[in-house]
Amino acid sequence: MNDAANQLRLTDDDSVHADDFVYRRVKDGGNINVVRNKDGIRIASSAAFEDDADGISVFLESTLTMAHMEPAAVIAGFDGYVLARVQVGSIRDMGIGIVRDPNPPDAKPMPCNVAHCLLKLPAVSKGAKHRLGQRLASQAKLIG
Amino acid sequence: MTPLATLPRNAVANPSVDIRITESSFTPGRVDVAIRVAEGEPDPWWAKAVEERLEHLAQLNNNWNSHGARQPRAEAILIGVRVIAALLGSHENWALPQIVPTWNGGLQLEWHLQPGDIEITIDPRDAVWAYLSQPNLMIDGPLTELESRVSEVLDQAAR
Repeated sequence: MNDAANQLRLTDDDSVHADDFVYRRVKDGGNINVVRNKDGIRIASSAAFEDDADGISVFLESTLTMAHMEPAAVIAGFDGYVLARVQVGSIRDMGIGIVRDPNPPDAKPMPCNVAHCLLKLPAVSKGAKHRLGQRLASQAKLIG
Repeated sequence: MTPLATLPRNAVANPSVDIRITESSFTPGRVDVAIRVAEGEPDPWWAKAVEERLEHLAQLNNNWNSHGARQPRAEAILIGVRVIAALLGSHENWALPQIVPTWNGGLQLEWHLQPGDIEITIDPRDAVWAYLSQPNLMIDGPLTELESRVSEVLDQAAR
């Protein structure tokens, strides 16, 4: 694999299929990162999809399934959390990549960490990143 | 009570509003948030609800989102109250914002209303930024530049 191909793979891993789903752990207890839209329906706030230096932590559904885990494994032992589920294809449509990042060393040890991935936002302005967070939140279905 | 931060009365858009954030003398580790007005003046209509919400958020610890978030900074809470006071003022029929914490210790004020969505991000190290989303309009910029457009949406929603 040449350098360009390696670089692409670092920011978007095409072994993650577009029809797969990812789960983001969202703090709910007391509506911390959950709000109501204009129809009164509970949705994730865009603040639930802010990236840090590494990217946005998510868990890949197909890997959880292969490891015989339900999505609820992602919030097992986390009190007051829900899951936000988004399809990989719609994430890529926003220009966001996804890379596998199993068992990150700084994470609380959990069986679901085998399915850990990072969403990689493009290098854009703070405002454009916020808009991507809004789009992720609007695509997300809350579970739990 | 030990003041963690205070905002001078003359620094608030509404000069009769002050805020005090203190460490509780009754419960160690608990943070009290109090919005205060000048003696003899009534509390702003939004004060009780905002005070309760901010006090709830002020109790969050570092890593509250399990992804390494910082606890809300006192400065962000102070600026949040200042922004709410400036926007809502005496418009008692305008909607209150939904207030959520952000990853870096800031706050976000959100209104999801019929004419459009408003999000205002408060990061003490940065300008207060407003994002307005309507069917045919998506703009963002410093709140100082978009305040009248934000007020228009809040006013339309209340009609």
